[in-house]
Amino acid sequence: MFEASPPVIAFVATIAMFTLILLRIPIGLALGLAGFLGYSWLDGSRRAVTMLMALPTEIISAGYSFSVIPLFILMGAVAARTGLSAELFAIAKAAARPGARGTLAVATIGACGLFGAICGSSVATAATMGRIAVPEMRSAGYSPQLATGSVAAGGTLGILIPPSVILVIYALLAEQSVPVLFAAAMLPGILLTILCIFVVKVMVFVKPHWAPPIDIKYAPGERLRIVMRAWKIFGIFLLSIGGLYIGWFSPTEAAAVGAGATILIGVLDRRLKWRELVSAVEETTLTSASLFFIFLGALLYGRFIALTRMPHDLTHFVASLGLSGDLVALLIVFIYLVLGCFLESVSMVLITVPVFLPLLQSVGYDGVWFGILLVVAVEMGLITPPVGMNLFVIRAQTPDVSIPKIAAGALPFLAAQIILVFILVYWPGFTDVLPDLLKVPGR
Amino acid sequence: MAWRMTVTHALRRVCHVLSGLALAAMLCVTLYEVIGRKLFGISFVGIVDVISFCVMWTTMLGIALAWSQRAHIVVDLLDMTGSPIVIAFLDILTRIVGIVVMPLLVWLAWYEFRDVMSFGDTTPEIGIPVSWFWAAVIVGYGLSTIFLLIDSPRSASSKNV
Repeated sequence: MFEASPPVIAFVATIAMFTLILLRIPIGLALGLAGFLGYSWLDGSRRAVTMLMALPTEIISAGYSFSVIPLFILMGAVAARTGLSAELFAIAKAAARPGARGTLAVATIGACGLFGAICGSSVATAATMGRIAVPEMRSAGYSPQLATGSVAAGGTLGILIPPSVILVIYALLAEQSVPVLFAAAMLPGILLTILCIFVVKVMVFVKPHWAPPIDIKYAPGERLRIVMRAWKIFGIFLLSIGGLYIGWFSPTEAAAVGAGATILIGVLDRRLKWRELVSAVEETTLTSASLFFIFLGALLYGRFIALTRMPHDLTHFVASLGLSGDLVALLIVFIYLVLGCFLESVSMVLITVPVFLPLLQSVGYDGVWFGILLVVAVEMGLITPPVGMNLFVIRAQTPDVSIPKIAAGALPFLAAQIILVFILVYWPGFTDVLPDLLKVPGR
Repeated sequence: MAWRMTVTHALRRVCHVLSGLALAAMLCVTLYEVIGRKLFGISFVGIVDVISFCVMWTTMLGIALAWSQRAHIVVDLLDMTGSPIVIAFLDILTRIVGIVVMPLLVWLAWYEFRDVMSFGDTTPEIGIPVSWFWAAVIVGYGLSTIFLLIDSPRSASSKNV
C-alpha cells in the first residue's frame, strides 16, 4: 500500500471518518471503517483483522460494566412514561416564588434538574419536560423563545446530574471509576442548575414581556404538601445513587435498583401500563445498541489513533508551544464547542477522548476532572445550532416555533455553561470536593 | 413487496422479544442478587457471566433492530437540503456500505465462533460456552445484513442529530 508517515495516515483517516459521518453513514460504522482501514494502512490488514476480532472478546469481558448503560437508560425511559415529569413540574412550581416574573421558567429548570436525578439522558429530559412545561408556559403568555429555550437548556442538566449515561460511557473508555465520576458531577450539576435559574432571571429582567407575572393561588399549606410529593424522586435517587456511595451496590446494581424502583412506583401509582413498559424496553434496547455500536467503532478508531502515536505527538507539540494548562483546557473546550455544532454528544466523546485525555493529563489535569469538563462542553453542543439535539427535540414538540427562535431562547444559557467551564478550569479541585468528602473508593 | 414487509415485521418482532427478554433477565438477575445478598446473605454465583451474556444478546439484536428501524445515530446535515435526490442517494450509500461491511463481520465472527467451539472455551465463573456469545455476534450482524438487504427504501425517520 502507499507509504506514508503515521501522522499523515492519522490525518487522512480522520478526514475520511468525518466525510463518512457527513455522508450520513452511521457514526459507529464511520468510526470503525476509518479505524480499520487506517490500521490496515499502517500495520497491514492481517493485524487489523486480528485487532478487529479481538474487540468482541474484550466486550464480552466488559459486558458486566457495560450493563450499567441499558439499566440506567431503562430507568429514564420508564420515568418518562410514568407521569413523574408532570408531578416534578408541579413540585418545582410550588417550590418557586409564585407571582414573580419567570416563575414557570425557573420551575422548568428546577424540574429538569430533578428529572436529571433519575434520568441520565439530556434528550429524554428535554423531551419529557417539554411536553409538560412548554404548553403551560405558553398558555401563561410566555414568549416562545423563553418557553422552548428554558426546556432545551434545562434538558442538558440530565447528562451532568447523576446518573449520567455519558459519564458511564466515558468511564468505560477512559478507565475511570463510575462512582467517583458521579460524585464529582454532583456539585457542578447543582451549580449549573442555579446558574441557569440566574440566566432566566436576567432574561426576564432584560425582556420583561417574555414572561408576564402570573398569579398562582395556593391554599395554606398546599405548597408544602405538593413539595413533599417529591419523596418518590428523592427516594429513587437516594436508594440508587445513595446506595452506590454507602457501598451497598456496584454501579450495575445501583442502575438495576433504580430501574426496578421506578417500575415499582409506576405500577403502584397505576401510571405504568404493560404497553408503556414494553415501549420503554424497546426504546432502551435501541438506544443502548446504537450507543454500543458507536462504542465498538470508537474502540477500533481509538486503537488506530494510539498506533499512530498521535496523542503522544500532540502532547509533545503542545509542550513545545509552552502553553499553560488552563489555556490548553480552554482551547479544548473551544474545539468541543465547534464540534458540538456538527456532531452529537456520545460520538464527540468517543472520538476525542483518546486524543485529548492524554494531552490534558500531560498538563496536570486528571481523568475525573476531564470527564466533568467534557460533559459540560458536550452540553453546550446540545443547544448550539445547527445540530443542537435538544433544539430539534423541542422543535418536534412545538412545530409552530422555528429553530432560530428556540436557539434564541436557549443560547443565553450558554453563559451559564461558560461560567461553569471557567470555574472548572481555574478551580479543578471543585470536582474533588464531593468524592473526597464521601471518601469514594477508587479516588 | 408484501413478502418483504412480512419477513421484516416477523424478524423485528422476534428481535424485540428476544432482546427485551435479555434486558428483563439482566434486570431481574441483578435485583435477585441484590435482594438475596442484602436480605438473606446468599449470593448468585455466576452473575457476571449471566449479565455479560444478556448484554451481548440485547445489544447485538438491538444493533440489527437499529438497522431495520434506521435508529443508528447519524448526522443528517445534508438532509437539511431537503432534496429527495440527496436523501435517496445518502440512503443508498449507507445501505451499500452496510451491505459490504456487515457480511464481512459475519464471516470473520464465524471463524472466531468455530475457533472457540473447537477449543471449548467457557466463561470463568459458571462455564457458559464462549461460542454462545459469538453466536450473538453472528446473529446480530447476520440479521443486520438481512434487514439491509430486504428493508424497503427510506420511509421512516432516523435518530438524527
